[in-house]
Amino acid sequence: MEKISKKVENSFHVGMGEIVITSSPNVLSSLGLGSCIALVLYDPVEKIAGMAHIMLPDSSMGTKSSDNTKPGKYADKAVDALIKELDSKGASKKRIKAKIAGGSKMFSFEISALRSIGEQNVKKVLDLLQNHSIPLEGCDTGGSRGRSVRFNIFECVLEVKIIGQGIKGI
Amino acid sequence: MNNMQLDAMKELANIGTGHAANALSELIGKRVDMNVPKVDLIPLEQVGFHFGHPEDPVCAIFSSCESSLETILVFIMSLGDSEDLAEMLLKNISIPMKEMEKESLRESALSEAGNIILGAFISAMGDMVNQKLPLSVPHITVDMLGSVMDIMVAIFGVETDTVFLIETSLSFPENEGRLFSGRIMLVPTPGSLENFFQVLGLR
Repeated sequence: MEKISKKVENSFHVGMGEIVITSSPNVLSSLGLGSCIALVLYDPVEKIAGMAHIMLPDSSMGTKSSDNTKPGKYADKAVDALIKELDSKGASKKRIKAKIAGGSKMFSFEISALRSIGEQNVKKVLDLLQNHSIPLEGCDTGGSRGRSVRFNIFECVLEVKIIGQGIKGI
Repeated sequence: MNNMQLDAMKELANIGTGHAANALSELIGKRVDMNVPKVDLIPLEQVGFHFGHPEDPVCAIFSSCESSLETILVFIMSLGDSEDLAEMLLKNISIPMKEMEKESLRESALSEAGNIILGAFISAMGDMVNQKLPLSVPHITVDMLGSVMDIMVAIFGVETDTVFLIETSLSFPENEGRLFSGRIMLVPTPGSLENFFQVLGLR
């Protein structure tokens, strides 16, 4: 995404499985997260950020018949892709920080088809961030409520909205 | 999946919905109409946008049937409609109580209504395929549509990128002009479709 010279903010929605990279003063958002996770990696000095809307923890889970071309679908591929994209846009890996939200358990029942995906997503993302030595600056995960998030790149704040609880910034 | 198989699934849903409509009608003492079931094949990433906007507040009641015909059943309404339904269910109760207790009671009533509706649905299905189909206790959530529909990621995400479900809706024509509708979704888990077709005699 190009830097915009006027102070006009564009808002980019990151759909399930997508990765979007942009810079200040733009805003990145993900709506209606349940077990999915919104992962933001950002360079606070260059004010460049990427958001991934992660669906599942591990790309090795995918079967042959599923389409694995969505870069943000699996946590492991998403983190690598975000780092690579940010690097190509001039972000410094040493400066990159992370914020995450989501990974809820929307329903308390477990059947064979449901595998505590929210929890697994959170654990996987945290492990990957640790492996890459990326500091986690904000985290609002777990619980049983849905979240919508907006990342304001200029302020490096992730706004998390939960029905009945208003909006909080992390 | 061929047309005959799709038609059979729709017929299954039709019978289920008919019974569900009757059950709801008896519960609230009003006429309940139903729509013709349709099959949805939705790209997984659009599932939050298919039934509305991902941030729309909804009330959803989920139950699971764990048998060889493993399936999830959902009864979902807009938040406003769920409040209307709760009022209808509780109209004869006028004990003064705190707001939190009222809310808890509303959730219980809706949960139970969901259980009755989905229970009627699955038992009609069971009769049609000559199998006992057990239904789990209902789980209710009031939250954003997108967050609720994330369950489809867990059910389908690993195997495929397309959600297959059959939906119908129930509505109240006599609801004083206000449009109420509740959607019933039948979501067979990916592995169980083969079994569905087998019991329907359509391999």
